Amino acid sequence: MTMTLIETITVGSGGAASIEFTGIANDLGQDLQVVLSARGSGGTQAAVTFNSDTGSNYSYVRLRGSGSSVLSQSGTTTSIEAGGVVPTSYTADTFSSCSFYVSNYAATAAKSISIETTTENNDTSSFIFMQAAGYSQTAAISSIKLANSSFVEHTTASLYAIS
Amino acid sequence: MATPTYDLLASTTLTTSASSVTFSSIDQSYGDLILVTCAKALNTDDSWLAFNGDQSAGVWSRVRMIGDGSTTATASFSAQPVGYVLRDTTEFSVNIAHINDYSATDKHKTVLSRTNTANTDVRAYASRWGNTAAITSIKLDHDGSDYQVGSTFNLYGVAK
Repeated sequence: MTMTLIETITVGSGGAASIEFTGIANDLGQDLQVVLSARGSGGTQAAVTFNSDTGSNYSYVRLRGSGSSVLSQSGTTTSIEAGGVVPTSYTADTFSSCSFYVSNYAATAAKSISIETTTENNDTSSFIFMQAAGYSQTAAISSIKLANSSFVEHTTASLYAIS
Repeated sequence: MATPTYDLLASTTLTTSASSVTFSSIDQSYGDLILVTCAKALNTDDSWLAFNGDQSAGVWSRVRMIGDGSTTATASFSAQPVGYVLRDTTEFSVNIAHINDYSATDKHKTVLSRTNTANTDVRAYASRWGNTAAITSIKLDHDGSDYQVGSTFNLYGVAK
C-alpha cells in the first residue's frame, strides 16, 4: 500500500488560469492528496472545486497566521479557498507550498478535507493557513480544479492516491 | 518528483458502531507512524489516543491552538492523553497524527496532530507521552459515545 503519484501538472510559459485533474478513477485508493507549488497574478487563493461543481456546497474554518497576528475565519462558499498561491507582487522566484488531503474521496458521503498552506515572501506579508474544509455532495470525486487568474510558469500541482 | 511511500499497517472501517478502536502488535521496523482517521461520533466530546494502553496521569502533556471561524485560542494541559477531537455529530472529521520515532526506546514520544471539522473548528496539537517504551499499540477512545458506522481508521508506517 502506497502513496502513489497519479499525475503532475506543470504550468508552461504564458501561464494558465486553472489546473485540473480529470478522470479520477474511484478505485485509486481511499484518500487523495494534492500538493501545490504556485505563484499567480490573481491573489493568494487557489479556488478548489470538485466535479465542476460551483454551487454553494463548500464550507471551511481556518486559522491564519501572518507572523504578527492570528485570526480565524469560516464560511460557506462556491469553492474552497485553499490559499497556496504566492502573488506576483512578492519576492521574485518564491512559490507557495500547499497540501490538501481528501478523505474517502470515492465514498457516497460528504467529503472532509484538511489543508495546510504557506505563502512565503522572504520578508513580511507571509502567511500560514491551517484549514478544515467540507464538500457537502455525496458523489465520488472524479475531477479537481484549482483556479487563479493566472498561475505563472513553473507552478506545479501533483495528485497522489493513498491506499 | 520523488514518490514517497507509506506502508499501510492496519485499516479499520466500522460497519457497526464501536466505543474504541485499537491497533495492536504494531510493526517496529518503521521510523514514524501516521494515523489518518475520518470519523464521527454522537457527541462533541473528546477523543483520545493512548499508547500501550497507558492513560495514566502524569505522563501526558499537550499544547493546542484552535480557530473556530471567529476566535482563536491556545492552551496547554498535563495529565491528559493526546487530544484527537471530534467536534461535530453529522460531519466526518479528518484527523491526521504524526507519531515520530515511535519505536525508539531512548526518548519520550511526541505527536503532531491535526483535527479538521469544517462545521466547527480546526485544531493543531503537539503532545508528549512521557515514556521511553516503544509504541506497540494505539487505542482511540471517544468520551461518551461510540464511533459511528462509516468511520475509517488507517495506520501507516513511514520507512526509516
